[in-house]
Amino acid sequence: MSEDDAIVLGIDLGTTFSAMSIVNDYGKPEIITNADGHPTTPSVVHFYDEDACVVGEEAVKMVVIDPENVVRFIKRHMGEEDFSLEFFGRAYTPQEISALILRKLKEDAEELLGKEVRDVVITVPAYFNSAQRGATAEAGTIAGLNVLSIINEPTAAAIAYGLDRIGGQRKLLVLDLGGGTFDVTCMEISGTKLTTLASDGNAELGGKDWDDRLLNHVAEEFYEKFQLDPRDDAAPYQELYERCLHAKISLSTKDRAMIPVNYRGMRMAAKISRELFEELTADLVQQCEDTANIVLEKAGLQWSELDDVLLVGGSTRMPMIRDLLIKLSSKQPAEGVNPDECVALGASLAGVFRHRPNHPALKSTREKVKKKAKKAAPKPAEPVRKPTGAVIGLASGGHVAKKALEDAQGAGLPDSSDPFDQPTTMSGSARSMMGLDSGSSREEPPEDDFQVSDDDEGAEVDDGEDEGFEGLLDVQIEDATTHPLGIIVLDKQRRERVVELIPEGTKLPYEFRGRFAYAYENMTAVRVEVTEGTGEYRDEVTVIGKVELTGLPPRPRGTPIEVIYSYGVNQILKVQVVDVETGITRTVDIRFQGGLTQQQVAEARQRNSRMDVE
Amino acid sequence: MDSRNLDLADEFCKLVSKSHLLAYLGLPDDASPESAQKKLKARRKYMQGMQSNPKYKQEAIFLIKNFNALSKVLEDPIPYLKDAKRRAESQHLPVLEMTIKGVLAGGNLTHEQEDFLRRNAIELGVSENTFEDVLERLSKESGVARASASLTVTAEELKTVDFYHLLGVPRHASRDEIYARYRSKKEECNGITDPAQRESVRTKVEKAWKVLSDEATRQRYDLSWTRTGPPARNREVTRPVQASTAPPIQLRGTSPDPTPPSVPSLAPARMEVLSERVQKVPVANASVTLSIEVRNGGEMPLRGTIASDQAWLRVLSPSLKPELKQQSVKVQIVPKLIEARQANGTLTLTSESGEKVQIEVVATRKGAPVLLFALGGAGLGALVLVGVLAVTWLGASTDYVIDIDPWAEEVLLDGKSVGSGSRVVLDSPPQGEATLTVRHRNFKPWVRDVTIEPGGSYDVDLELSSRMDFKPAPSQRRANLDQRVAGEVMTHFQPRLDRCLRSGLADKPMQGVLRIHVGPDGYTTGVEIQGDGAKSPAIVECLKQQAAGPVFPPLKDGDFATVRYDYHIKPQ
Ligand SMILES: Nc1ncnc2c1ncn2[C@@H]1O[C@H](COP(=O)(O)OP(=O)(O)OP(=O)(O)O)[C@@H](O)[C@H]1O
Ligand SMILES: [Mg+2]
Repeated sequence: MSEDDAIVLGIDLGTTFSAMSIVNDYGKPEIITNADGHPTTPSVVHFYDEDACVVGEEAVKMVVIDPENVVRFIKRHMGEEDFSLEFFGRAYTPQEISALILRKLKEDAEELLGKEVRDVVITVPAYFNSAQRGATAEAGTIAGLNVLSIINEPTAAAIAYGLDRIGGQRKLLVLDLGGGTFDVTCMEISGTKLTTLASDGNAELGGKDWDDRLLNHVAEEFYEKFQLDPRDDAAPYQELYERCLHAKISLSTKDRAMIPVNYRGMRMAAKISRELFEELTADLVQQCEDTANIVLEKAGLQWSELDDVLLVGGSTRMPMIRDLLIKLSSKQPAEGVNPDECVALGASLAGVFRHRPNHPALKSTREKVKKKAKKAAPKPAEPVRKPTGAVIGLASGGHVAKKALEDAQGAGLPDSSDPFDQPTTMSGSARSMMGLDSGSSREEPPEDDFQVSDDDEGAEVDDGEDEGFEGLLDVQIEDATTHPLGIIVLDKQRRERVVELIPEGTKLPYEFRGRFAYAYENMTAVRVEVTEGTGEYRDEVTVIGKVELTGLPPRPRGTPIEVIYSYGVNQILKVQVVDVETGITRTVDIRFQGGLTQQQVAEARQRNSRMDVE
Repeated sequence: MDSRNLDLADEFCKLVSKSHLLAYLGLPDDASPESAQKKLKARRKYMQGMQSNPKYKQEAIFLIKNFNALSKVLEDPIPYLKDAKRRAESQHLPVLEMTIKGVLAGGNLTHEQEDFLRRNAIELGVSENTFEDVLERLSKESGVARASASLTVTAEELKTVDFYHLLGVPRHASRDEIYARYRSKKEECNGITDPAQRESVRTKVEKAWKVLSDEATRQRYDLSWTRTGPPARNREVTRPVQASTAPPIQLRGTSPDPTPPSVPSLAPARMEVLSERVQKVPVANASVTLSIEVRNGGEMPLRGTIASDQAWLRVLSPSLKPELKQQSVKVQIVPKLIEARQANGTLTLTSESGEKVQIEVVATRKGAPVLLFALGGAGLGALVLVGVLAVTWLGASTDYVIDIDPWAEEVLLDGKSVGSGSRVVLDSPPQGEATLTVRHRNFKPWVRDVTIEPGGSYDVDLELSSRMDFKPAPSQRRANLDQRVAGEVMTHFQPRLDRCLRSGLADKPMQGVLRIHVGPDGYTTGVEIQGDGAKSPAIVECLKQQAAGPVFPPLKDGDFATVRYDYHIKPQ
């Protein structure tokens, strides 16, 4: 199997549920079901023996029986140092636990597909910082996977959704409230380009917090009655938690729910009305509202300027969140989006756009566009079509590509124009239709791909029907940083200061070059510390990496040193330190540092491969 | 021992509201390192199942993250415990000093006030000795005489009064034992209704404490007493020894028992505790007295002590009455000192012959937790000035109680004085509306129309009576304020300033600078506002009121200090 057509598995590694998908040969992203035939798998691990665990629904069932050996919500601890859990005498980092979930997904996918899966794209909340991203990538490596990219969840959701809307210029707000994180991202679809305008969020706000409010309320009511608190014991707590979770879900469709509590022989049934539930969680909704407003402000947009609002994540099924969005935007949220699946679907699409420039679906579209352009039969362009219905329809890739064809035709092939300079229409030459997979670390598709063989002349691409057309248009994804990056320097008084080099919201890829100078006479080594976060002093920010340039000839104070930060689309920050006079250069990839050293990752990988995952 | 680990242990104990790790693990102070390790490990494992439990999340995550540090600390519990106790003290010392200064600012120090301060000290985990030292030093510094200082024990008294007997402690009693006894005696004083008699008893008790609390005076007293022999009356009662055959000089601790030698044929004393070993006590706000039944299973007098390991569990009489065949040992549970909904304490009864019985007392709060004004955690500034006033109804037959935390100089209902201190009992509960007034020297009275009802609770903010617009003159010298303490004061105080500013907040953010001027005594003398909000009389008025709140450390080397607060208030 050649590199180019190897599967790229898109994985939504969620706090509560994980999902995965691949793009089929026709350009359609498909959800891969797990061994139980379900589209999502609970992100729960039960350790039942030394080196043996079970992931998914089975693990959830064990939580009331063996709470000490079940892990849930591990995503909330990704990137945290010193956090590890112990099972059967062995310590597991959050990366290792996530790796077990990833392995379960990978193995289920391989079974269903009958092929080996190695390359993956994993999604993370946009608001994850680099340690959290790094930890996620490490988890992938530990699970024996090759992580091609880490991509933002709202971006992925927008790709899946936007695939049908490519063509015009649309402004889109993605609000993702999952089990453990909250993300709001404002995106622009312009031509075949998807750009992140602004993003904000809270990695500590999700459905779990709504569950906890219910739980606390019920537990307190129970306490008032019996002076006993069911939260005080692990197993009864878990049982009550499950009940609250179910009550929460039923309150999304019903006006009231009953939560039975049975603890130490005392019984009670708490009655919860939707009204009460909304009262208990009003401040959480307020936080969502604030964040959404901040994102709009950052993007410099008014609510009325948005074309679509997209609800992603299971918790957006709660009417209070829908209502909030309708209140803010005076719009109905976009229909036909499956909030549980679109992140995974977008992840596999992003994997193809970025890492599989020769995917058959992309190739066939390019060929057809080329062919169409050659024919150049002047046909009036159809009006931009507003797609409705399922986002990921069977022919979705097809009809987009087809519309692009039509536009190409209508525009009469201005060969040199670039569609991205004229964002309001999809006009452009066949060549520019290819898009430039710019930013991707891979090289451009070889020239041969543009060649059209003459005997394909009669292909049925211009009959105006959707059926039969297969393909996928090259899409450019332009992400932005969610945290500012900086460097620690000494000021005139030789006190440490943080200087921001790449501000938050900078479009990727981005390169910063700056000159700094020796702080002391006769220095022979330079240390560059890369920081993340807003602040002026070291303790206000996080140091995410260090580059040291040693063995320099001693020179006077003020000798210049060049520092280059290049941030690629794959969330890889490359830092180069160049001694200007000698040209001595040191380069470091700050990509994916989640707190483990390479050796630790390798060891964990070894251990993980010996572990039984069911 | 690694100080970082000790810091973490300290942080953790604060998080779980425990005085130290051994108490957290439910182990005695002299637990072995092995048992501590085992307990800690088991706890961690259990907490793994609790890490998503909102009630235990913080505890669980802290324990998981810092397990190694805590485990290291417990490798050697003895130095750790020493450190934990020292820390508790030094942490709370500034708070205590501030409180004492606040009280001393009144110009004198009554017995009640001294008691109040001592109670605070104990609640804060400051030892008696340290408290005495600090009080002594500060009262000297401020030139305020302590009520007890006016007591002079005459040479005659030293020769004729048996202070040990007066307090009811054996001669070899330790200072702690004497102290406990002294306190319970004083508490008994409060029960005496005739004021003249109360004063006379109190004076005697104070004198006894004055003599016996100081190592040097006590030794001198012991010597003079043994030489001259006890006063005749006492001799007859407790010591049937001839005055002429006074025992040779003996050092305390090695002195023989003051009771006569017993006849050897009597069966030795045997301590039998009849009460349950685990006492579960539901408590509300009122103190609850618990009786532990102890019987002497032998014939010789039963001597022994009772000790508690918790401040909220007070032993009213620290020793057994030797002559009784059966007795009820009284202990008092003080719910106000219980922070959590549930607290465990251990009573240890130890007989002279070494028998030891432990009784576990589990106090559980009924109903919702009572809001306590935590002296330790809340910051420094507002100690004397701000408190919580909670009205509680004690039950069907009893009365309404007003708890004032920390305390009030005077509480008035509809203009009539109803009491003072930290608890006021109303014998005729007013119906519905009443005007409640809280008075404090140096402050404007706090007056509020309230509905007296059980569970009612009011924040009491007292405003300094001096005007809050004093500005330092150019000729005055700027002093250096202890930045750390000042910062802490401000942290506590800032939300209240923000509240003022916020009251005038439209939909736009506000920013500017507040300058709080501090006088030599640490009290604020003025507040200035520049920037947004400066033009609003309501905000300025509110700020002036609130600015009376904080008490900064007294200035050492100047006439004034200014604390600057750059505010930036956003609409919520
Ligand atoms: N009908 C519903 N009503 C309310 N909440 C729901 C409903 N369905 C699912 N949820 C909640 O949605 C959350 C799961 O959503 P989702 O699977 O999108 O999150 P995730 O991807 O696991 O988490 P994250 O994206 O934060 O990492 C859970 O908290 C679940 O309780
Ligand atoms: Mg999600």
